[in-house]
Amino acid sequence: MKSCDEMVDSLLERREKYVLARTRKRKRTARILSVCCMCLAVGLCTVVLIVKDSLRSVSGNNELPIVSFYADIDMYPQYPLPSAGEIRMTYRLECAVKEYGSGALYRIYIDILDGDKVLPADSEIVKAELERLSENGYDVSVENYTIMDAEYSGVVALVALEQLESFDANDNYGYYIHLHDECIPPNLLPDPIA
Amino acid sequence: MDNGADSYRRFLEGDDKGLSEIVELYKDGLILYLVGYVNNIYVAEDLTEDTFFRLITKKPSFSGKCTFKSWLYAIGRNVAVDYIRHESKCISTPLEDIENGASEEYDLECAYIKEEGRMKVHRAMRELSADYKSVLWLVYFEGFSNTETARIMRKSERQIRNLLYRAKQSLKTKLEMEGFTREKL
Repeated sequence: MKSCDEMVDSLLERREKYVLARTRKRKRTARILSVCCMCLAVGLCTVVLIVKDSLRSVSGNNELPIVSFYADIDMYPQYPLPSAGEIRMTYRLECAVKEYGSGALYRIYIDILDGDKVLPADSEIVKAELERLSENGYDVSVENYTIMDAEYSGVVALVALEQLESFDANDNYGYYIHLHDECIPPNLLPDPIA
Repeated sequence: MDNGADSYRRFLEGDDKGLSEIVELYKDGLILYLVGYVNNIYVAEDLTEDTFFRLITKKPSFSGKCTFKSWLYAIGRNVAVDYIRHESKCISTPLEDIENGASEEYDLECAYIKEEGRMKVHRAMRELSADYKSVLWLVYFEGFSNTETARIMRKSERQIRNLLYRAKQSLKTKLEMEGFTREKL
C-alpha cells in the first residue's frame, strides 16, 4: 500500500504525462483539421471547375443557356419555302429570339433547299456548305435522328444571336432554320404557299 | 470549516500542497469505502488514486452545496462503478494477493477505524451486498448524514432510509450467526 507522499508523487507524475499527451493530441488534431480543410477546399474548387468546364463544353460559352425549343405557342403556322439566297426562320425560333435575344445560344436545324427540295445531309453540296459555314465560325455538324421508326439526318448548329441575324447564306440555296426540338422531317414540311 | 474545500481551492490556484492535504485527509477512508464495491484492497487503492487524478486533471468545480468529503466520495463511487462496468469479466487474483490484501486491509482498518468493536462490524459487513456495505460505511463509519449519503449514492433520502434499515437487519443476522451479541451499531 502506498503512503500519502507516494500517492501524491504518483499523481503529480501522472498529471505531467497527461498534460504532455493532451498537448500532443491537440497539435495532432489541429494538423488533421488543417489538412482536411485544405482537401475540402481543393475538392470544392475541382468540382466547381469540372462543372464550369462541362457547361462550357455544352454551351460554348460558360454564361449563356441553350435554347432548343419554344413551347409557348399553340399554333402551327404554314411557311413559304425559302427561295435561293433566302433564309426563313420558323415562328417558334423567331419567338425564342425575341424572348431571349443575345442572352442565349440557339440549337437549330438548318435545312438547305435546292429549289423546293431539301438536300440530304450526306450530299456533296451539303458537305461543302458545312465546310463553308465552319470556316466562317459556325458550330455545325450532321445529326442523325429517328421519328416514328424513320431515320433522318440533318444539319445542326449551335449559334449566337449575331450569327443567326447575319447568317451567311449561299445565293444558290434556300435556308430553312428551326429550333432543334421542333424538328420537322423534310417530307413533312408544309406545302409551299401558292 | 471544510478543510477539504479550502485545500482544493488552494490546489486550483496552483498550490500543490493543497493536493497533499486532500490525499492525507481522505485517502484511507476512500480506500475502505471503495473496497466495499470492488472487494480488493489494491484495486480500491488504485481507484482512490484515480479519484484524486480525476480531481487534478478535470478540475471539476466544487459548488459548496454539500461537504467536500461527500462530493469527493461521490466522485469515488462513480470511478468505482465505471471500473466495475469495464471490468465486468471475472479476473482471477493470485492467492498470495488475497492473503496480502487481507493483511493490508486489516492494517488499514486498524489505522482508520481504530476501535476493535467497529472493526469486527466492518469485517462482518464484507459479506453484505455492495449497496448495504456502502450505506453502512458512509453513515456509521464516515459519519455522513442521510442527505449526504443519498447524494453520494445517487439515491433519494427515502431510499437511503430503507436501505439502511435492510442493511442493519442483514448485518444483525450475520453478526448473530457469528455470536456477536450487540444490539445496536
